[in-house]
Amino acid sequence: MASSSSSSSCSSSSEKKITLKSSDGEALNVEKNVALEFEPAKGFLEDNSEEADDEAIVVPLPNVSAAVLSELIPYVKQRLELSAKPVQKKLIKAFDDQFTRHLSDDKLGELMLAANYLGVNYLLDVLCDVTADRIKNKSVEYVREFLGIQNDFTPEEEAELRAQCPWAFEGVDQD
Amino acid sequence: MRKLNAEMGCLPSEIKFNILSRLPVRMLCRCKSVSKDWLQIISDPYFLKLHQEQSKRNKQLLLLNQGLGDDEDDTRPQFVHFLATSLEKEVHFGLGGFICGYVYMIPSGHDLICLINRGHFHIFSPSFIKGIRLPQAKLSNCLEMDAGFGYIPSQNEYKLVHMFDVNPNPFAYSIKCEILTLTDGATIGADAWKEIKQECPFKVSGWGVLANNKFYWIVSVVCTPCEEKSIVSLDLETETFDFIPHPHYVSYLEGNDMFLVELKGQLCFIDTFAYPPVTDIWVLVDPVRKIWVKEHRIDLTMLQGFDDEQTQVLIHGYENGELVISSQQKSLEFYDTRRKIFRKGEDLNLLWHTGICLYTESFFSLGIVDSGFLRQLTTTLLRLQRTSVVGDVYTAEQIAPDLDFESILFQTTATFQGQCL
Repeated sequence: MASSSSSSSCSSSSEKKITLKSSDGEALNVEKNVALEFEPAKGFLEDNSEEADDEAIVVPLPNVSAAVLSELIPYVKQRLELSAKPVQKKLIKAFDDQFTRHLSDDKLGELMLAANYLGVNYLLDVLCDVTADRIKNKSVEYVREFLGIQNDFTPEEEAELRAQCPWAFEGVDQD
Repeated sequence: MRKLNAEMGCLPSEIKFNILSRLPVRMLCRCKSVSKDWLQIISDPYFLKLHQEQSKRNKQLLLLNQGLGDDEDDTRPQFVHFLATSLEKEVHFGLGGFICGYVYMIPSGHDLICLINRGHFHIFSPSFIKGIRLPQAKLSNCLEMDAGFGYIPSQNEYKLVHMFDVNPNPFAYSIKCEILTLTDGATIGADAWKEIKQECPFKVSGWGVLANNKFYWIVSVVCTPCEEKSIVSLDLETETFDFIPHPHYVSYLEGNDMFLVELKGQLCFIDTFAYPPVTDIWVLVDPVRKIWVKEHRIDLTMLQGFDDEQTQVLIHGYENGELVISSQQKSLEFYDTRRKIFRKGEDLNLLWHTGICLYTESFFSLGIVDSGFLRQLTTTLLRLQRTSVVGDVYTAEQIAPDLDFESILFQTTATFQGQCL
């Protein structure tokens, strides 16, 4: 279970392999059961099911870069292995925590978009949770900067909104 | 701080909804001033529904420690400390200050929590960290406070029921009943308590539990109830009282520890035997035909630190397939009903007398905002929120190291001279 997998080099596996093609043109070999976790790949494979040889199929994923895919693939692979066993939720949570703990804010954004596009909802939920956690109790200014949001209120409008709930602005964490 | 690039700036709205639905109400109120887009999302009925569902899956805890321990009759000033935390011990806020007399805490099964102090009812919203004092309830000729508090999801209303004895004869009783309804954002008038016509046939013990639009109480032992009439119910629609029997006649033994609780919308009767040490959970599966079914039997000897004489098991809720249980240990226990095993929660440093309430974050607004006592506690303790440890006893200096504690104490004293809490 603890064996860390490097997605590109383990070709000895007897599992059927599928090739995914990233937005930047790189081809990545993955086990079929992992590929099936990605909605667009699943749809593509179903549409091309008459193709006899899976090895020959190349699934284009034009919205995800190779860098992001190579983070996602080992995660999904291990997560599949974990959920196949009758393990406690606690173990899955610990695994998710370990995966997300060291993600930079940039990476978090990229992964969220990828998980959303690929329909990996369990990962999307974990990432949204982490994002919520990172902005929880921060100032409005911090939230704007963190999420790249333009303030489109006039100073008067903003002051009025703040005056409606001054108590919500107490106890803000240091940025 | 690292700046988030364009990736985050152009998140599709379903991701924005997903992230925001995980934030606490207080943070969302702050986030309304992030941008027009966010203001619109946070006011969107669909979003509010999503937030509600998310909050229900992620219950929070309000803990209450008081200097008097469990001495309910002591009316001296005591230090009272509230702490809101997640089940995983992520601290949200703490509040503390001096209050005269014991504070009772009644959960609603939803967001709001009812506090009773020296005969006065208060409602506290942990989501908004706001509290209000309710209009004066009727005086009772008996010393105990008898009440019930609950939430009706279909109407988005809270109901508070107060029972009071109008019979001046100490050896007899005539129990009248008044009900107060809390609706979202509505102001509470001085005439908010509505007395109902029918009298409650028996004295009750413990707080009433609301399930399927009825409140239920266990009949007090002073009334020597028969088994068929050991639980009294109050139908909120018809405002009439009725009885339901004890679930299992044989188990109706003296020395058993019994209480009612609402789990998954159903009334449950929790019956703990002294020997063998087991807790039975009976569910009122058919409230009309009054049919109980025993759904679970918990072997208490599996509980870490179980002590035949000392352990008292309290069930606070049912979350994600697990019963949330307190047993006078420093942490809560979670009982997996399917696999029949206990899981120890985070060390919350609970004391044996710590009051424990589960609550669900919500946007239910209390209308009038009390600028008095609870606000005072809020400003004092918000500064502490990150440093406070659950269950610790604070001295005045520790509470407000950089605040003029004298003035806070003075204001607090002035507040409770008039109204206490």
